Amino acid sequence: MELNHDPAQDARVQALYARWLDVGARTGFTLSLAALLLYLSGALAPFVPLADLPALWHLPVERYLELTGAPTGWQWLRLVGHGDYLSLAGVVLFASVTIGCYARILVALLRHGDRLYALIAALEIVVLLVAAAGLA
Amino acid sequence: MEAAAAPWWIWPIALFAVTFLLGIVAVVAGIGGGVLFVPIVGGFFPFHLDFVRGAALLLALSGTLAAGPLLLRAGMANLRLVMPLALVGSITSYAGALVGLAAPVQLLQTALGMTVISVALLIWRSRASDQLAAAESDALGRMLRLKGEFEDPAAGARIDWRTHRTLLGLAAFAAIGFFGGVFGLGAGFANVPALNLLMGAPLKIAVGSSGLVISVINTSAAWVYINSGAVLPLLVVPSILGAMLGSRIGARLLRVTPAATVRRLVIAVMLAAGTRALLRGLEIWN
Repeated sequence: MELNHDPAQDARVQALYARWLDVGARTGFTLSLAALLLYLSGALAPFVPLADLPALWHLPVERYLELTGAPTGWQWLRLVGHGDYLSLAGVVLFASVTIGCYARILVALLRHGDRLYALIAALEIVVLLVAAAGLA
Repeated sequence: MEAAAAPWWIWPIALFAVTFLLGIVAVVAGIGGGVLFVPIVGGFFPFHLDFVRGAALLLALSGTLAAGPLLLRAGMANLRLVMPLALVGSITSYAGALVGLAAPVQLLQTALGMTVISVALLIWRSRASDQLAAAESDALGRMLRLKGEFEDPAAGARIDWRTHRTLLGLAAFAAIGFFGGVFGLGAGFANVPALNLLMGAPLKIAVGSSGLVISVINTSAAWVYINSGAVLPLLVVPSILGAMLGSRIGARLLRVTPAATVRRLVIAVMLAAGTRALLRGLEIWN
């Protein structure tokens, strides 16, 4: 079974994905670099002092969290005024770019009537949102 | 000098230097950086494997996000081919990350060592092919329209391609996603043979699409590590910046570097790093 095929439409969706990916990746890099400079320069005090890290980073993550009181899930948002968690915001942006790209092409796929790939895109968004929400 | 006694700033600088070199080698050798990053940083740096795997996933993710637009615009990555494979892989990668964070570290080090040594042997033995006959699509491949045309400037030819063995390809990406999530690897070393040799995609489409698949599959596993608190920005951000810069240098060196020499170097480094992880896992050399 082969459904109706319009290669030009596929190319448009691919170009749309590329455009959104480009903007998301550039924004992620810029934010990460700026946040790292604020973090390392001491302009924004870290939640976990830099000098304490060598005594902590060899530990399993559960033990690290116990000793530092560092948050899990989305609780880090309340610490975003600290240099280390502002840097984490840049990292989180990297992990969010693909969700944004899929959401954008989902609209385009639905508009073009490509239901099979719209379903695949919708399922991918669900999987990534479940992962992002920490539902397990 | 004890690792814990060294000043903190030595480690991000060392990470930047190592990932800069890894970025060069990964591009020239045509492999993902994660397969070198995890055993080398996990074996020779003082960080716990939980944080190393979190950093490795984000390293591979950022690299593929940066390369993705170029690959898509050049037609070297095919979004229709990527989407079904990435959906399966991202589900299993999520599961793999949960398993990886719950597993005992000795077991993980041992399994990582065995995996990296096996991958080194696989790279040594494998021969990717760009001379694939245009096999007939299977029913699933036809339904998903996994086919296209690719203008190859290097060969001066237009290649019509279509994939086959689609169900096996989906199963392969399910396995690749799972192990990638467990060990924090992008698994480009496995994606390319699966796309090229198993599914019949041309080599350049396989390499380009592999990068885009990693950007989706690694996203689900990366969220598990972020939500678990296993992402330390002091490890992740210098690694990302070093790998990005190294990748750009690697791309420039690609044309002039003897590929066979680099390939042998990568195999040697992987065997050394894999052996270190194995011995650490077996508590023979801590």
